[in-house]
Amino acid sequence: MIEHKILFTGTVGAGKTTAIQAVSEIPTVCTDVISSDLTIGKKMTTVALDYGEVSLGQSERLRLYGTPGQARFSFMWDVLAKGALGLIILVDHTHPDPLKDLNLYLQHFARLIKETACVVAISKMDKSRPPPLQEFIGLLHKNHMANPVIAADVRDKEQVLWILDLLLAQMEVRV
Amino acid sequence: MPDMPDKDRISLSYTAVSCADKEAVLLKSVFALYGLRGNINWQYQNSMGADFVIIGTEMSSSSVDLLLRTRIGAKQAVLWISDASLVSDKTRHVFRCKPPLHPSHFANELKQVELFFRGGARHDPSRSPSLPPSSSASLSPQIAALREEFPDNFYVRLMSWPSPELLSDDRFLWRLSAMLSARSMTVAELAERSSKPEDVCREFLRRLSDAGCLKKIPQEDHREPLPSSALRETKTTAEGGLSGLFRKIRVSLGLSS
Ligand SMILES: Nc1nc2c(ncn2[C@@H]2O[C@H](COP(=O)(O)OP(=O)(O)O)[C@@H](O)[C@H]2O)c(=O)[nH]1
Ligand SMILES: [Mg+2]
Repeated sequence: MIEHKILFTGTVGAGKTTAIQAVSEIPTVCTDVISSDLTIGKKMTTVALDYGEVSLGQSERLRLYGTPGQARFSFMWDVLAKGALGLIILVDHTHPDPLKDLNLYLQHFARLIKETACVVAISKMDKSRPPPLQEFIGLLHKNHMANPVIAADVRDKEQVLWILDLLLAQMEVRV
Repeated sequence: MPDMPDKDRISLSYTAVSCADKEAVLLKSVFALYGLRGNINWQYQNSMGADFVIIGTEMSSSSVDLLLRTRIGAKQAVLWISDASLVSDKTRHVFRCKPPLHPSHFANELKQVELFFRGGARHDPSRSPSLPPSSSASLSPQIAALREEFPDNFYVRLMSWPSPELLSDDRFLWRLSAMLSARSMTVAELAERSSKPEDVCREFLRRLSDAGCLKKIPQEDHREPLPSSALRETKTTAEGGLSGLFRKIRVSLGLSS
């Protein structure tokens, strides 16, 4: 079985579990224990990790991972990022400083973003409160990135599929 | 402003039905502007037989459906100001604007409508469009200018994601932008990848360029990006390698390709 993966990242409450659930063929698994292949170094840490699946015929499978949100688990992000086909960053617009949240992920995943594909989805977007979408776009631009930035309600499956569509559009031109 | 040569200017009629007062005023002013600088001479006509029929927000979806099936011919273009989805019709050329109508959205659609009447670019991907070859002498000045601005051998690359206003809710424009965010491409390649005529792509590139989102790279300055190691190392059993894998993912998710 060949396995591929797409990563969902974002702060706690940004909608990772919801988004993965929307498209996964299996009920989303929220693991609390690191499996052995994810163990890094000495310490065994418990983290929350979302996992969903889409089967791709007999011999292949697409895994959807939701990274633990907190920056203290960032060592996990690198493990998960290895070999990923693309990244979806979910930004909770109701957070105190959503631009700072986004910046953290842009920095940390810079290489994955530049080498594969990335969509930034702003969840719980309320247009009447700052920052406007344009500022998120501006932040990407400052990081020399022009990836899609979209306001989305990930409770709606169609919107999650649209995010994945834009992610695939980027992957497709890279081969 | 010098007048356009007469042979390049065509006269077309438009009509507007079921428009709210605000919409009617906006339409009138945009047409007045276009009458001055476009290469189509738009004349108002109080009849459903007009070349271009604009349907305002005050008509219900079912009436629009009926109208399209019974009153609109295949050579007419329609613009419907609505969020609603169309139920039945695939044979008429229906352009869309979201309410509340915005002058720039309408102007953008009008450009597409003009391309449609220029005998070329079609709005609907299900109809295969045919444009005159690049060397054609009978090109409209607009298209000729676009071809000059975005020559076949230039690469373009997105420098910044476009605003939602620029993309409106046209999925084709979103996909095109996503492609251009990943890598620089020539107009020809963009057209092939998106299955759209080159001139339709150019028209959009022009808007991206106006918005400061685009970088043009002459062929001699272009460097092929290194293939990403992440994707290079991806193994798949899919026929056609990675392209096949992405196709498989689309099919499994129920996405169109
Ligand atoms: N209003 C709104 N609520 C959302 C959106 N996305 C997720 N939620 C809700 O936010 C809560 C947290 O979502 P969850 O998927 O658990 O976030 P996670 O911590 O990133 O996995 C849930 O109650 C979701 O229903 C959105 O776009 N809009
Ligand atoms: Mg979660």
